[in-house]
Amino acid sequence: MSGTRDRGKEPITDIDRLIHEPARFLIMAHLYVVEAADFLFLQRQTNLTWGNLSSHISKLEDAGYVHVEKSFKGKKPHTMVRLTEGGRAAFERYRESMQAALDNIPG
Amino acid sequence: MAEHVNLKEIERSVRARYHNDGITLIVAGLSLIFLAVFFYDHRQAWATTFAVGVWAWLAESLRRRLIYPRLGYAKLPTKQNPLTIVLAIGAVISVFVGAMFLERLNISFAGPIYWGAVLAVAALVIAVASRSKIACALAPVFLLSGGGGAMLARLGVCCAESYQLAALGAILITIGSGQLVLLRRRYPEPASEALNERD
Repeated sequence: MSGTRDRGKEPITDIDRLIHEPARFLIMAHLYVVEAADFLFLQRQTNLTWGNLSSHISKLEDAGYVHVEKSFKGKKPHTMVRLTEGGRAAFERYRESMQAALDNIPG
Repeated sequence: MAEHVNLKEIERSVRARYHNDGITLIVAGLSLIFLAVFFYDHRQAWATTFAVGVWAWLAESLRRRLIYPRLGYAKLPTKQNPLTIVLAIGAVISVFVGAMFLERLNISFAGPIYWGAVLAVAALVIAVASRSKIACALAPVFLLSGGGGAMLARLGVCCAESYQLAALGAILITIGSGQLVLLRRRYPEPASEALNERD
């Protein structure tokens, strides 16, 4: 996003569409307030199905926003997800952009 | 899908989910019963109070076995304010110095009232800090228990504080168990097929 533009005049097209999708936004918001969380926790908090959650996490992982760590607890697979530094920065940028865009709407 | 977009609200709901799992109340109740049993042996009472690590370990072990397989696990950021830690340690030491001072005065009914008041204040602090309705409801119960214990002491019952703390411990364990049962019914353990599906 351009730093030379006035904050309030940034075009809405600058908003990160990857985070803008509601399910991914919820996932990012939850990961933003915790250090790390497992798949089950995210599923309980967001009410997404396993498949849906898995697909959104994969998209976020491909973008480098989250780091996925797979392991086994006994015989059960255990997947921990955490925001990367880039993901945290992208979420903060997204918040600022949205705030600026919404503040600009005459009410 | 939940419509929460307020990050503070999300953080509060994440913390509340773990704090309202019943484990905290069960462990607090067990520690009160332990304190009640050894009430008149100061060394044991001090050891019980300062063995916070043991209670924390017990709570974490119970959560790992009973809660995380159903609710999932999230590593919460630790906010350790040094001033808060110093204040908490100072408060615990003051409580025990006060208890020893009261014992020297040798007034039988003062002990139960003192412990009731101390626990009520602790419950109020927790209620304000975590916005816990249960802690808020427990504060007057703790305060009233002081009156009950004082009545027992006036009637000549020996170790009134022990009965008072044991009763309060039993109340906490009962409420905590209720919370735990409700939570386990609400969140059944996911089937192993689902666990494998995500990978």
